[in-house]
Amino acid sequence: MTNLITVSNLVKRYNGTAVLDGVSLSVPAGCVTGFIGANGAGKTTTIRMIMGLSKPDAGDVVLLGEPFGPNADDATARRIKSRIGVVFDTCPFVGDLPVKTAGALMRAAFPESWRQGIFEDLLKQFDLDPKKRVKDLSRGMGMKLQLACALAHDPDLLVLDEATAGLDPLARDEILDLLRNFMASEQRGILISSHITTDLEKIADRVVCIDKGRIAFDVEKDEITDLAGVAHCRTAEFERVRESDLFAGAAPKNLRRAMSVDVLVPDRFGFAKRFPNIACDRATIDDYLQLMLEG
Amino acid sequence: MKAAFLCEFTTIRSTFAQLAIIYLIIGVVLGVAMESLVALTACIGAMTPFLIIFTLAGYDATNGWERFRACLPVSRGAIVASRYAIVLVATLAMIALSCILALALGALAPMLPLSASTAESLAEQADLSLLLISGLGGSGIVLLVSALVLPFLIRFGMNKAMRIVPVVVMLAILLAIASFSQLAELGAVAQLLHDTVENPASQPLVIAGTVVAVLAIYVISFLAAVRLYRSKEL
Repeated sequence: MTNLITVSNLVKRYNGTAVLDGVSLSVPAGCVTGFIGANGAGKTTTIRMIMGLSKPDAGDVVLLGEPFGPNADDATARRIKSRIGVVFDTCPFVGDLPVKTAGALMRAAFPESWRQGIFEDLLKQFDLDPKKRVKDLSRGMGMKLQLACALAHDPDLLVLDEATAGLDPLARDEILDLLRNFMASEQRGILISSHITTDLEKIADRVVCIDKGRIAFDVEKDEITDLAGVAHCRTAEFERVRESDLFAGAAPKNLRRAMSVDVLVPDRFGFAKRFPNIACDRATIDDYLQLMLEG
Repeated sequence: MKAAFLCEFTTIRSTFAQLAIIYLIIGVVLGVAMESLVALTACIGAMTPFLIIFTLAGYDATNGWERFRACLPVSRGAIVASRYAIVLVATLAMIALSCILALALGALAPMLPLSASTAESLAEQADLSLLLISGLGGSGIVLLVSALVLPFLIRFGMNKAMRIVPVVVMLAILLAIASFSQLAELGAVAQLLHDTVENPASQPLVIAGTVVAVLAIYVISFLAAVRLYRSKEL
C-alpha cells in the first residue's frame, strides 16, 4: 500500500521549546487516519508542516511520493497541491465574496481538475446559496463551503483540520457520509484532525495521537473500538489484574475513579475470560486517549 | 503564476470595481475643483497602488486566507509574483480609466455648468500624452514607496508591517534627502539633469527612463519579497 503522506521525525522548535519532537506518521492510500490530541499538542503544527506552511527544523515530509516543503518550486507545488484538498477550522475566503465567487477562485486555482458540476451539486446538497456572502455564513455553513471546494477538484488526499468542529450532529453525519463516498476509491486517503472522537470512531481506519509534540500512539481504530476495553476494578481486583500476565510485563494504564479503578485492557475478550467477574466495557477513543495519556 | 494571479484577481475584483467608481468620482471632483485634468490622472494613479496593496494585505490577515492560499497549487514565489503583478495591472487599469474620464471631462467641459475659465482649462488639458505622463508620474512615485513597503507587508503581515514600515519609509526619505544634498553639490550633474528634463526633445527619453527605473526598483523589491516570503511561517 503506497503512502499518500509520510512524515518522518519532524522536529520544530519555537524559542528553544520543541513543539514537535520526532513526529512520524503516515497516511496510506485507502486509509482514513484520525489525528487526535489535546489543544496545543501539535496537531495543527504537524498539518502545517505537511502542507509546507512551516519549515521543520529537522525531519522530512513526503507527499504523494515526492519530498515536499515550503520552498518547493512552482511545478512541484502545482503538481502535489493540485491533488490535495484542504479544510481548515475557519472558512478562509474573504468575507465580502459570494459563495459562487469562492468557487470561481477555486476554479482559477485548479484549472484542470475543477468540476463545476460537483461544486454546484454540493452547494445544493449543503443548502448553500451561491449568492450569499461568505461573511453571512454560519460557522457550519462555512465549513461546508470549504468541504465543497475541497471535494470539487477531485483530490486524491484530503487534509482536514477540525473540519467537523461547530457542526450539528446531523451536519457532521452528512459530512462523514461524503467522506465515506470520497473513500470509495482505494487510491485516496484522508488525514483528519478532530476533537470529536465519535466522528473518528465512525470513519477512521487508524488513529494517531500526539501529546506534547510526540506521537503517543498510532494504532488501527479497530484495536481500540473492537478489541480494547476498560475494566472497572475494585482496588483488590486491580491488584490481581496488575499482577496478571495480560499486559506483557508493562504496568497497566489505569485511572483511579471515585468508585473504581479503570484499567485499559488491550483485549477485552481475553480479559473477560480471565476475569469474568470484573466489568469490562468496550473502549471508546476518548477512553483510550485518556488512559494512554493520563493512566 | 497564472493560477495565483487569477486567485488574487478574483479575490479583489468586486472590491476593485467598487473602489474604481469611488476613485473616479473623487477624480472628477478633484479635476473640476483644481481645474486640472493632469491632477485628476496623477491623483488616481497615485492612490491606486496603496489601495490595492493594503486591501490585499487586509484580506491576507483575515480568516487564515493567507494560509489557505498557500495550500492551493501555487508556489510561494508565484504568490508574491501575483501580488506584485496585480498591483501593477490594477494601477495601469486605473490610469487608463482616469485618462478616459479626463478626456471625456475635457470634451464635455464646455457643455457642463462650469465657469468659462474652468471649462477652458479642462479642455486645454485634454491631451492623452500629457494625461498618461501625469498618471504614470503619480503612480510611479507611489510605486516606488510600494516597492519599499511590499516586502515588509508580505513578510510580516499587515499588523506587524504597520509598525515597521513607517520607520523604513522615514529612513528612506532621510537617505533620499541626503543623496539629493550631495547631488546638489555636484552642480554640473544637477544642471545636466535639469536641462534634460526641461528639454522637450529629451522628455520622452526621460519619461521612458523613469518608467524603466521604477520598474527595475519594483523588480528588485519583488526579488527581495520572494526571499522573505519563502522563510515565512504561515
